[in-house]
Amino acid sequence: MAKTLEIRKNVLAKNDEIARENREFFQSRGLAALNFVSSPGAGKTSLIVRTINDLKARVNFAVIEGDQQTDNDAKKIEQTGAQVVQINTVSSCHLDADMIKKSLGSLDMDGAKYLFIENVGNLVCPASYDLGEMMKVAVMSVTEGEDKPVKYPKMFRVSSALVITKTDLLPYLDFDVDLAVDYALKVNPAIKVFKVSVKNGEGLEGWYNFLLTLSDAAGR
Amino acid sequence: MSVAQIVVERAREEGASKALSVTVEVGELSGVTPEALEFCYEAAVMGGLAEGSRLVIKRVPAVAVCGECGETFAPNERIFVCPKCEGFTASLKSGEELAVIEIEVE
Ligand SMILES: Nc1nc2c(ncn2[C@@H]2O[C@H](COP(=O)(O)OP(=O)(O)OP(=O)(O)O)[C@@H](O)[C@H]2O)c(=O)[nH]1
Ligand SMILES: [Mg+2]
Ligand SMILES: [Zn+2]
Repeated sequence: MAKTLEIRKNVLAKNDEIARENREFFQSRGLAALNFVSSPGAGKTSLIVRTINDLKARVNFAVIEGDQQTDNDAKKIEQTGAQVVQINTVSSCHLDADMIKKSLGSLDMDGAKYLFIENVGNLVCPASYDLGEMMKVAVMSVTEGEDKPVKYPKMFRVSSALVITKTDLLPYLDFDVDLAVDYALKVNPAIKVFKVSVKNGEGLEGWYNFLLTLSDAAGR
Repeated sequence: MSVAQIVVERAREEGASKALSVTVEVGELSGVTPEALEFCYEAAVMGGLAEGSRLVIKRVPAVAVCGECGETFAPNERIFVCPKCEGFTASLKSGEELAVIEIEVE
């Protein structure tokens, strides 16, 4: 005897529940958890590696690396000496809160002040999945179109910071940085923008100062 | 894939032994393609009480509302520029759904 049951349950509701647990965990440890999102190849891993290398004398980092396949990025992080755990999402194009929760067990986060989570390179789905992070950091390189923020407004709206990378390449490109910043501010007037080059170090000071204020906020 | 989890949980609550069909709502901009969902679903329900159940996917079109002038429009791809006033502050009214609507059990 078949019968129909009404459910109307949002699939993301479950994710949000777990994200809430993750957030409580991070807060109880005074850990600033940052979820890095971008298009493929924008420069997330490079930014994370350089940031850790430049700041590791002062603070400890832990990293969760999300990739569909391979552990290439995790290996690069490992070389910095920071703790890292790799998640291969395989058929999924984003990290979800449950993957983060499960991977937390393999990190001994004692002493870590920052947890950097590198999401899968994709500006669509990661915007919908809360991982329990303190904030999302959107990374965009000057080799992309200035109008990325308008094409993927949700991602830029849910991100608290925008790091525009590879500024060392500007002399060779027609990329209009001011226009890109303008677009980002149009979709999210509160977004904090940093223009950096991981290659020549330009602009990293401002990014680091911002990061250091986050750890103070998380440690309170 | 938690569509399967939701289905199994609810079917158990009802004391059902088998799920026959599952209806889900998938927004055009949910980031989930019907093909991917079908594929994941089949794998996720394998061996459980929803194995072999039919997945009915209802696509929900994307509708945006301009924050400046209130105009309702279908966002062109992902470009949320209002066609009337060219404002950038449109928010999505629908199109991001990913929800289990109903299941048929026995
Ligand atoms: N010139 C220049 N190249 C950079 C900079 N940052 C990153 N790159 C290069 O850009 C390429 C991609 O960088 P990654 O850091 O791997 O980018 P990603 O966002 O982690 O890539 P996925 O994880 O594959 O999405 C690499 O070849 C980097 O060397 C920069 O500031 N300047
Ligand atoms: Mg990477
Ligand atoms: Zn308008």
